[in-house]
Amino acid sequence: MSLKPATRAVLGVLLVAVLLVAAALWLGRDSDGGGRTVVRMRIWDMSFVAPYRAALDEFERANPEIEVRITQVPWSSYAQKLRLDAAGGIADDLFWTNLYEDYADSGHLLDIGAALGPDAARAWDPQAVAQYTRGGKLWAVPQFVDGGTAVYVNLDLLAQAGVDPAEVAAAHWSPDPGQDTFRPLLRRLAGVSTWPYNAANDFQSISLPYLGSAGGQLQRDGRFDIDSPPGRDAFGYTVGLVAAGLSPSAADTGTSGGSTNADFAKNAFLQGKLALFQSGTFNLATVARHTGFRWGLAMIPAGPAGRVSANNAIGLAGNAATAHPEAMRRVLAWLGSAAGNRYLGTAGATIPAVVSDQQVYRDYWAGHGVDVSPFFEVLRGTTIAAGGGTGFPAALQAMTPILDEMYLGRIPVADALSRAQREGNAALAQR
Amino acid sequence: MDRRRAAVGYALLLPSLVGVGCFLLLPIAVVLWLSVHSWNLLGPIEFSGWDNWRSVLTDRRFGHSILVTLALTAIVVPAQTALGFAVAAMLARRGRGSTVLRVMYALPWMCAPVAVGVVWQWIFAPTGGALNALLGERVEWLSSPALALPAVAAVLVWTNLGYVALFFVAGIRAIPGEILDAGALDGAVGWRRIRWLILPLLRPTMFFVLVTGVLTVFQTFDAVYALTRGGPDHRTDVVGMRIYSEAFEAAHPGRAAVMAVVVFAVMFVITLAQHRYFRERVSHEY
Repeated sequence: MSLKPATRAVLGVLLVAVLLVAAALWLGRDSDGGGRTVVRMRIWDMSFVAPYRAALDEFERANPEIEVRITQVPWSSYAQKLRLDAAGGIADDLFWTNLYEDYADSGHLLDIGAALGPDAARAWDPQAVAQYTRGGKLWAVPQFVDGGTAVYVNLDLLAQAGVDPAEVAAAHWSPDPGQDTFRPLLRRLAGVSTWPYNAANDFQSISLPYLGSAGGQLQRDGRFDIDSPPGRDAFGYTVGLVAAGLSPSAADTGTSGGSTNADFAKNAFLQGKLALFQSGTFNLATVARHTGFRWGLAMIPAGPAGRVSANNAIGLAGNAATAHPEAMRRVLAWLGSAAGNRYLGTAGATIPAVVSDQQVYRDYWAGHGVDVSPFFEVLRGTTIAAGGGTGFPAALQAMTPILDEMYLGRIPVADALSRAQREGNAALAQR
Repeated sequence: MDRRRAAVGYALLLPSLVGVGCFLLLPIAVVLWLSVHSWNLLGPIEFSGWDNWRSVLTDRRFGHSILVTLALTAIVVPAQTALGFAVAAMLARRGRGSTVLRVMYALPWMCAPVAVGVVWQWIFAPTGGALNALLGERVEWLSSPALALPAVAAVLVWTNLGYVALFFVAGIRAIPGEILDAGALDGAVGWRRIRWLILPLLRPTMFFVLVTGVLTVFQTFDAVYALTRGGPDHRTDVVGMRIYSEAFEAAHPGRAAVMAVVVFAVMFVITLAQHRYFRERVSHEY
């Protein structure tokens, strides 16, 4: 039987339409074809895929009816993509978060206390639990803590400059040159390194520790509070280090010159051009793997108010709109348990949020000859809150270009802090 | 029979109509609808009347981004048109290797703009960048308020040059040889030939190149995102970047929708003005 050309064309169009619909349904299916429920989990750091996979393989052996798939979305677009996917109702069942308030307030997150029971949080780092508690409810299962900030030290450069590593650990910064021992130390290192130190518009590793150690805080009563005497001392000091050539130019490290500059200081340290690299545990594995010189860790310089660091935690949030609430609850319970969370520390990737697992991380690095105590010691004193609240990401976006200009030396510190605070608070007020 | 043929015609058009409806008309309707609503992408969507319009039309930063975009257009469009024509004049000769050269010139335009931006960011890097290594001195191309916009413009010109040149090559080759030969008998050779014969005959091509050039620069986003993110201090904050920041970083899609409508209106007026200008000056047919 032969069909007319017109009939063949119409049938062809219909066939294509059916195939497209079938492909869409197949791609969006919620089971793996073998009857297993698929739970999707989203993270931003590729290096966590292996430890998570190991943890989830064990979970899947015990729960053969559930399959957990990991998606990695780069950090640079993570926040925007997650928000868009949540708006479109296609966010993953589980996702890493650090700024969760907008999601919690709009009903997108699972109440962890209700899902896992009130006792679940007892095993977790108290500061992480506090970070993810809002309105009396817990909104994420803490996965790991960054620990405090420390200074990665190029011991070969220190030896060349005749600087004892103990001098770095005892260094003290102050806006009063008579009391400042850190800047003179950096001047000595300037003779042997391209840059002695990495003062820059780096929120977690530089801005918060300096602000805190000057006696300041990022937010007061939910509004930015950087335009303060401690703020001017802290930022005035770090901007001064850049202006004096003791840190890389803000044209190299800032965001104004593009989006890939965030790693400039890390790469400079790895290349042996930077003597002291102030950063967190998130760079430890990379430094350990890629340095070709002797290195160590030291405490961050103390300021007028002592040594102060932030201790940020990353949590795993549950999507309130999931199609598989029970499967998701079981995955959350496993990854928040001592047995499941332990995997994140076994290869030294990060500090597990389950307190009893944190020794695993220390043991791993001790086995590799690295004393990670500076990351922990600094948290014994005062810590500085990393800020948050509804509209916080938008506020940071508004403030960053102004602080970049300040580090480039084109806006005086006092003016920049005043302007950045005004813009940040205006962004918060728009919520 | 005619009705059946018509039915078949509509059936064949259906996929295209669905595409136009879903990916053109529906988004336009959504943008207009969003422009009168307040939404942070997570919370409830609330009707806000003209609030978004009022706040955008009085927003100095948005006005600034329009000016930045106009400045970028003023640099990029004349430069890429002039250089594109010059390249086309060379490529139009059917010499050995001219096809390979045409492909090479068009390659940057075929590359993903973000990839191009990342490569140029490395070229422009103040420390360890290729350009500064070549010059032997440190220039902060992308963080200097004076140099950032010209640097972005240079990348856009480099990207679009081959695309523009290809249209001019096609236009030049379409000019009948008899016209050029007759012109040569009258002394139209060299620059005179270009000025008095080729350029007037290329007006339709010129119109197309200028219109698409303006539209392309007004829609620039990827290259700026990769190179400067609108910095330093908003000096390269083109409207495409502003709309992105407003929609996805500040999470104000309603305000971003207003900006998109305003930009559409500006582009429409510019295109209309260009159309009228060239309509009065295209006076030949061949």
